[in-house]
Amino acid sequence: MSITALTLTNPGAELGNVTGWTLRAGDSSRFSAQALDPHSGTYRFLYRFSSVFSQVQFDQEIDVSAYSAVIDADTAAVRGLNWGATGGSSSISFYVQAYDTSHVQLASWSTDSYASGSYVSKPLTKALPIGTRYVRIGVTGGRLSSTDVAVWDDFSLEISDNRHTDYPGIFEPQVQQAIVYAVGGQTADDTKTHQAPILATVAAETSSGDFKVYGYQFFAYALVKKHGDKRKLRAWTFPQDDHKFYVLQLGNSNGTLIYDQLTQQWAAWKSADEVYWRGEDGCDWEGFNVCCDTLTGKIFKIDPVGRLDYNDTTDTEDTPITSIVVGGTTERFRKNIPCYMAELAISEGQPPEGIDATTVGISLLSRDTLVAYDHGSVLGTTTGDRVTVRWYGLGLMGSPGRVFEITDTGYARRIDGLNIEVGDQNGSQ
Amino acid sequence: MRLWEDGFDHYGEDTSNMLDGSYATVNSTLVTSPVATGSHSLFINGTAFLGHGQAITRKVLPSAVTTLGKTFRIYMPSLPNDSRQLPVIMSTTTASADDHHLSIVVDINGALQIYRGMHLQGSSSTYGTLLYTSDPILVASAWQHIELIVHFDNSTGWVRCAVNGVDQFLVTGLDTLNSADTVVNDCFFLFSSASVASGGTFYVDDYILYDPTVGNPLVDTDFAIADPQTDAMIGELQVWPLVPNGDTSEADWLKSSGTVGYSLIDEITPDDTDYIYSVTAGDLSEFDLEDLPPEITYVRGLGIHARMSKSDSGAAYVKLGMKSVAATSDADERPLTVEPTYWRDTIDVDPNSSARWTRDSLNAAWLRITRSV
Repeated sequence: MSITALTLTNPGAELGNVTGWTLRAGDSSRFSAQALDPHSGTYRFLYRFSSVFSQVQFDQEIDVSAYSAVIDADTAAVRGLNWGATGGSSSISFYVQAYDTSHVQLASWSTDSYASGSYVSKPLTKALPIGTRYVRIGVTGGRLSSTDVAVWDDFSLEISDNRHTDYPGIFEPQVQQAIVYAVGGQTADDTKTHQAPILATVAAETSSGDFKVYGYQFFAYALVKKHGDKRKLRAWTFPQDDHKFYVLQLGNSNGTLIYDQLTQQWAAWKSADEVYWRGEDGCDWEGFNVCCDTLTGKIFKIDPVGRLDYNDTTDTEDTPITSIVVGGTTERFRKNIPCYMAELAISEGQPPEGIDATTVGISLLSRDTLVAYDHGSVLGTTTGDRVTVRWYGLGLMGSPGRVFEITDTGYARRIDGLNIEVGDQNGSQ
Repeated sequence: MRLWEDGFDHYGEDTSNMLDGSYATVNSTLVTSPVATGSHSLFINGTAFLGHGQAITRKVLPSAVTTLGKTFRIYMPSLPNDSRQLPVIMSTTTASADDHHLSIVVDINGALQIYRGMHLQGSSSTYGTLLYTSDPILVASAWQHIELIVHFDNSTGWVRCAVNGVDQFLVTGLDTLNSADTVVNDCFFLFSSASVASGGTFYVDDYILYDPTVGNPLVDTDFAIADPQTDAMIGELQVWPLVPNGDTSEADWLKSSGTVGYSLIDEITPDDTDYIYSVTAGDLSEFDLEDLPPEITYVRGLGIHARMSKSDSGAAYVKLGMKSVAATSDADERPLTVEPTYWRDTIDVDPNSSARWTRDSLNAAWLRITRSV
């Protein structure tokens, strides 16, 4: 991808004459180079109109056949530029035209009129139609009233072999502007049929194969409800196997705490994909512990032997309940105690019926004040009663100690205990 | 059937963006405080004293209705203090934007008044015929959720209202049509028969329109109510904004700059200088969306608002959709225009579960953009 400047003859009239430019309309005696107020250099082009409605048109033709490969691949574009001004009583525009090898015009593009007074630039950046071999750059227009002169300077023309990448911010808006004219063309059956020639020009451009669709902003609005107001600070109790459980709903962000009054242990319960347990306002109902789910309006039965969690949030089956048990050991003073092994005793190791044993298991994490250690997981493929699971080489435990976190994703019916084997400061067991 | 939703969070603070395909007329301001949901709310502070029909914020419905449901949140810095200038929280114009079928107004006590035949004409503006005045049910300086359902009829019309999820009134046997013109729009504005502003401004957020008579009442994503006079209303919904926040391996659409696509289309304030674009029919790009927070436990619908354009006068269609796990759902093709314009589609049902979205399924889903033609 590149942009190449095409060589124009006498682009700024600096030869002191109009050599290189073909006057196609107008009086050659009124077309000259003038050494007065140029846009750059010493000279500028000047045309002095003779009468109202008199016309001027001049241009220069450039051979672009050296770029025929990219032109015929429909990736080329040209960019013409010129500076000009009028006396305010004429309407003159800058144009770029494309011709084939037989000098048949393929496309023509033009700007609006130059302003009166000071120099104004009139760039045109356009896709070259397939078959283009010559490009003309020039100006055309006429005097509308009174007397007037028009001046131009610094014509330039460049060609790009990849217009998409060479003109990312310039080329496209101009296409959009051209399309606005095309919309006007679709109303050509009204009184403004005089615009038809402009529309035909644009139609040629829109067939250039450069048709884009733009996406600027994509926004999704989810219509949602919160349930935090219904789940904050609620408490209820239920009995199970001579244990009295006390349920504390602490809101969406704090979860649900369960206190077992018999064992005096706290636990955190949560429903799948939630930070809290969805059970609310339960009671003992003729031997069954039931509670309500305000999310769905359903009644939950707390099943003391069930090992699957009811799942209504997706189309998947019920999933095993995940249990997390946390314990710890303390160390004092500036010493490091080796931990050789951790052994977990499981009263019954078997996944719930219908659950693939390779999808559940037990993992062990431990943490000290600075670091969390992942000791790995064991898949629940070993079934049977009184199963033990071991992790070896748990590293050195320093002050203030180590917290162990056992996560069972559905393998064990009950975890009986965790023993860790440690050595003394000298390394003996 | 849901007809519209808007959180006012994707126009920036330039209300002219609201006119790019979303609203018919706008006379309000987009502000960042106070807001109920997201980053912006709509501040109704321009009166309808001058400009009349042009001085209202008006949403045109996709088709005429005979029953219209509307839910939104409202915040009034203070209750109105001049009965010549009162908030109009729901109104439907006739074919003449200066004449209205039915208008629901907040009075100086926070009560709702229902008028038929409101007329906007500067100092000659009139409220019309008063049909009903409720007890005071709104207070100042608090976001309150309002649900309104209006049935339009010459003799058996009715209006039902709930505030913060609690039913407030049902008024039946009303003439709620001011002319034979169809009901095809909904408005917010500030009525004024005084040239001097005298309070009554209000903020709006979480704006939803629906027709409760269309759809299956047993399917909550249909926004239908079996008996709209007595059955539970839609409830306190928030319109929660989700912007693209990640590219995926499905990325046919080209980038105006750089190699990251989502950052070109995630603006809160629309920016037409950066974009993704497609030059080939069939191009598909998928993007990850922001996640809903954990406190969201119920997703009743999903509306996608996209600002798009095309470069040419030829046909160009784009389909918006969602991908959930491996299942996809695309909305109808939308014929783009040359000017950047908002298009809105709904994907209320998770294509993977064929049920409403859950927080987790929506968090895992991807936005799909397909150039179909």
